[in-house]
Amino acid sequence: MTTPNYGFFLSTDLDPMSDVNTSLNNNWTKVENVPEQGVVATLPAFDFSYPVGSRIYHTGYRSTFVLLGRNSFWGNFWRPIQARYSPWMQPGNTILVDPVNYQFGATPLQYRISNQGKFILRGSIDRVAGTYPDYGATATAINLLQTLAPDAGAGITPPMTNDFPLTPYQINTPTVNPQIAMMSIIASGTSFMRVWNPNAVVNGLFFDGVEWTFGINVA
Amino acid sequence: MVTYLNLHRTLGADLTNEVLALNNNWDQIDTKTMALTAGAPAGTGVVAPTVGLEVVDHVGRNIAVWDGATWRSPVIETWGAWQAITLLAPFVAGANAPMLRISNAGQVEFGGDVQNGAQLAWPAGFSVINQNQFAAATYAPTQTCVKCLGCSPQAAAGASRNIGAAFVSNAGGFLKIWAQLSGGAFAPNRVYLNGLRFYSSLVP
Repeated sequence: MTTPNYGFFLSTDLDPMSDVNTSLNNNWTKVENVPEQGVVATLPAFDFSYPVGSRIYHTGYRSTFVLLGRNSFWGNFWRPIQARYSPWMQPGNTILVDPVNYQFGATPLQYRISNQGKFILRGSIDRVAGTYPDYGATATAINLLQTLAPDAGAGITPPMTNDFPLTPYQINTPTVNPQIAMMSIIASGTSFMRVWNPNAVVNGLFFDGVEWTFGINVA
Repeated sequence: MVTYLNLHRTLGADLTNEVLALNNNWDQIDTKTMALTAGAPAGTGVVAPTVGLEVVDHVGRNIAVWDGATWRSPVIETWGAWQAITLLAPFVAGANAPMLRISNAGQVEFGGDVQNGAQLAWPAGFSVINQNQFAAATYAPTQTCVKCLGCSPQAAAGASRNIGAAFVSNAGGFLKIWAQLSGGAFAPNRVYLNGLRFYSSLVP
């Protein structure tokens, strides 16, 4: 027997109605588990109830976003489909390895994701007091940012270790003696972002211009 | 939320509730599976789409979404023409005139180089070299941006390179640059803008 509008698995003569729980309700469960596309004005940054693969429509950006993965420090990674870029996401102090000694600058660190698979950073991180450690004196890189490795779903790390130049500055005296610092993003399951500061002059670092294409086989 | 059936209970009796439950669930299937199955060009044959409904546009080979007024396809970033920048004294164009261009996704990018007209070392402290020249306020930067730049002495541009930094702000003077003061004969007085970008408030 069929309905006029819908075709589904047909029962056979031998199917007793007591099998409804097996043959019908289990299918409802499958349907229910398919993520339903919601409509939002703000992307849910740390709501981890969304299964990876969820699709959501953002009214301001007029675009669907797909949940690539999530990370307990950085939150959900939403990749746009129609919009060129996601909104700027600002995870908060959770991404700092050492929030006692480091804090967001006047332009806080933010990221966004492009519809062609790029991860883009901007903003700054300052020392709470004093200056960044001098690599020349300590020979130790600073583990500044928490891992980007996903708790679930796909990661947004680059396919290989990447090094980027950063712009250091002195808080309140940004005009003095710009140097260059380095940042390395290590593409491994336990990745973290390290920075190398050339000397002990600066107490802030800007991340503008740091961007990479994450994953592999992304055009 | 799916409503589950228990036909044991009502088999042979009035099936109204079961029909209601079934049809509601069919509707849910319909809602969830309609996306990505509709035709092309985007939206062909879709009656009264809801905001956020996606369809496969197999002519455009992409996924379009209904934004309430139109079917929107993925934005491919394209750049407008290079525009000249008006410099403030004492700065002048370097070997390659400084320019900027704007993308349809709200990015602003600079190119070329700027030098101190007097061929003196770059002034200590930051210097405003141009003002906000955008007709549309939507292209103003949404956040102050700072980025490393290359710089060199004009007289020996290939002989010595240093590190400068650009400061892009939407307050007051628009683009400010400072350079590493190495001093001596190789003090930088030319700054290269290539690669400097900032993001405007234009929703892409």
